[in-house]
Amino acid sequence: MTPESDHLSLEIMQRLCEGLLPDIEQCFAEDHLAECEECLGTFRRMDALLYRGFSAEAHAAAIRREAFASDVLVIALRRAAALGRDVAGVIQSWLDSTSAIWGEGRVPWFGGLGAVPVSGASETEAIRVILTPGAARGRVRIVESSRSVQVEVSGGTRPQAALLFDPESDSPPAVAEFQTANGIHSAHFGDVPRGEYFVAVSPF
Amino acid sequence: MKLTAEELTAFLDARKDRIAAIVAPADVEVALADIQGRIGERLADVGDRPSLESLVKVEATDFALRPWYTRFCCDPPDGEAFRQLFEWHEAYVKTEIRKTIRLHLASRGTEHVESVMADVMNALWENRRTFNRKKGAYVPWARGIAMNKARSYRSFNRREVSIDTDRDRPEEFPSGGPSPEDASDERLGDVQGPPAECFAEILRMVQEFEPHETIAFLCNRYLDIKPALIARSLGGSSLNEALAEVVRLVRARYPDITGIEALLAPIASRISGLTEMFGQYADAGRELEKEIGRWAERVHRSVSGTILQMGKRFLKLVCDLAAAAHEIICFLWIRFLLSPPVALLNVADRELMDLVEIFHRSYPPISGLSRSQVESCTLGLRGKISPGRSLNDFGGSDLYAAIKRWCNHVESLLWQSASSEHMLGYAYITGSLTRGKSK
Repeated sequence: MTPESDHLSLEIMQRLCEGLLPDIEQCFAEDHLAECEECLGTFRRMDALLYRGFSAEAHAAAIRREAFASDVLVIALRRAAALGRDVAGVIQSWLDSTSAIWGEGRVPWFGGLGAVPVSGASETEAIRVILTPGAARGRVRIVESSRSVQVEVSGGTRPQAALLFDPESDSPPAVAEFQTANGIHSAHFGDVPRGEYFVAVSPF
Repeated sequence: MKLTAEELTAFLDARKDRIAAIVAPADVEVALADIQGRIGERLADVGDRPSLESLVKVEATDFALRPWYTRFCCDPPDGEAFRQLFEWHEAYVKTEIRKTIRLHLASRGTEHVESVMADVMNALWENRRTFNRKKGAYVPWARGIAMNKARSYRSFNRREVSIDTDRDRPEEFPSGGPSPEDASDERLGDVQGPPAECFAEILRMVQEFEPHETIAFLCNRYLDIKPALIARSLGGSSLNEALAEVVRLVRARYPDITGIEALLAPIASRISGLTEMFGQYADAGRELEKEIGRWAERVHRSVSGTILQMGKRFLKLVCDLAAAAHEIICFLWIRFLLSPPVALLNVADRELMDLVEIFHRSYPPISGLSRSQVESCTLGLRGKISPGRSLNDFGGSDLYAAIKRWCNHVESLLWQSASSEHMLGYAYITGSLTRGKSK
C-alpha cells in the first residue's frame, strides 16, 4: 500500500468505537478494517486504550507485560528460540508456560528463592549446579578459564532442558537436554567461558 | 463528489456485469433502475468513488435479498422466509454479520462470536418491524444490530466489581490479572497492548477536571464500579475520603500499579482543604447515581477527544526532534501514514522534499488536520533537508534495514520527549509508539 491510498480517519474510527456511525458508514468502515491491517491496528490500539482498556485492570496488565518482557529468563528464552535449534519446540513451550505463570504472579528472581549450592573441586571436574527439589533457577560464577558446567536435579520427573546464559552478554544462551543416570537428572554444558551465569530448568 | 443523474447512470452501466453477478440475470435491468433510484436520493451523502462502489454493491445485494426480507418484515411475518434468508444466503448475510461481531468483540474466540450471533438472530426477528427500507438496506441495518449486541456482550462480560467489603473478604475480588476467560486470548508474551506510560499519562489528564468528576471517573471507568454502588458507598464521604478509598482499592486489587498515590497526587493536593461531601456535587433534584455516570462519561469523552486532538502538537514534536531529516521522514511515512517500509524503497530515489510533499497530501485525511496545519508542523523538518538528497544517499547496502533502524531511533527519542506533553496516548493510537519503555 502506498501513502496515496485511503486509510480511515481517526475520527471515523473514534465514532465507530463509540457506536455512533450510521449503519451504512459503519459497514464501509468495518469492510475497510477487514482488508487493511494498518487501519485495523490503529482501531485496535484506539479501542484498547480509550474504550475497552481505560481501566486499572488494563493498566496493571500493561505493567506486568512490560516487566515480563524485561525478565532476564524471558529475554534468554526468546534468544534461544530464535536460534532455531532441535530444542526450539521445548524452548517455545517453556516460553509459553513462563508467560502463563507470569499471568498468575511474578516468578522468583535468580539468586532469590531459586539459589542453589554450587560445587566443583578441581579444574578438570565439571562445576556441579545441584538444584534442590522444587528450585528451577540458580546462578553459577566461573572465575578461572573455561569450565564445564553440570546442572543436576534429583528425583521427580526428568526435566527436558536447561538453559545457561549471561544476561549481560551478547553471546547466545546455551541449551542442554537432560539425561538420567542413577536417579539423577543432569544436563551438561561444555567449555563455558569465564563469567557469571544464570541457570534455569524447564518446568516440564 | 458531486454526480449528476447522467453520470450516475454511466457509472452503473459500467458496472452492469458486477451487478449481474449479484442479482438474477433476468432482473439486471430492473435492478439497475432500482439501484439508481435509491442511490440517487442519497447522492449528496456519498463522499467519494470508493464509497459509491461499495454502495452499489450493498444496494445490488439488497435487491437480491428483498424477496425474502419483505415477507418477514411485515404482518403477519413469514418465519420460513426468515429461515431461508439466513440459510440460503448464509455465505453473504451471516459472513457480513460475523465480520461485524468479530471486530467489536476484539480478541474473543469463536464460541463468543457464535453466542453473539445467536443473540443477533433473535434480535433481528424480534425487531423485524422496525426495519425501514426507505432508510437503507437490510444487511447494514442487521450489522448495526450486530454491533450493538457485540458491544453489549463485551460490557456485560466485564466483571462486576464491588466497593465496600473487600477489606474483609479479599478472595472475592479480582486479582488484577486477566480473567480466566481472557487468559487464553491474552498471554503476556504475545499481546501488544498500550504501554503502561500511556495509562499514567491518562491518569494525569483526568485530574484536570473538577475533583468530583475525576473521582467519578476513577471509580466508574478506571475501577469498573457501577454508579449505583459508588453513590451508595461514597455519596456521604468527603472528596478526601473518596479518594482514599480509590487508592485503597487500587492497592488491594492491582498491586502491580505501584505508586498510585504519587500518580494521584495532583487531585489529592487540590481537594486537601475541601469539606463537601461527594454526593453534594449532584445538581438539586438529580439522582446521584445518574450524575456519577454523567461525570465519568464527560471525563472519558473529553480525554478521548483531547488525545485525538493532540495530533498537531505530536506531529510538530516529531518534526522538531534532534534526528536527521531522512530518519524523521521514514518515521512519518511508516507510523503516521501507515505505509510499510517496503513502500519507501519504491521512492528511495526521490528527493526528500518530495516525500514531505506526499506526506502533506496524504496525512490530513487520516488525521483530520488541515493541510496548512500539517505544513506548519513540518516547518522544522523542512529546514533540515538539503536539496537534492534522497533516502538512497543515506541507506548504504541494506536500505530496508536502515529504514527500520531509523524508525526505531526516532521512536526511542520520542519516548524521552513525549511523556511530559501528555502525548503518549495519541502516539500509541497512531502506532507511533507501540512498545513499552525499554528498561
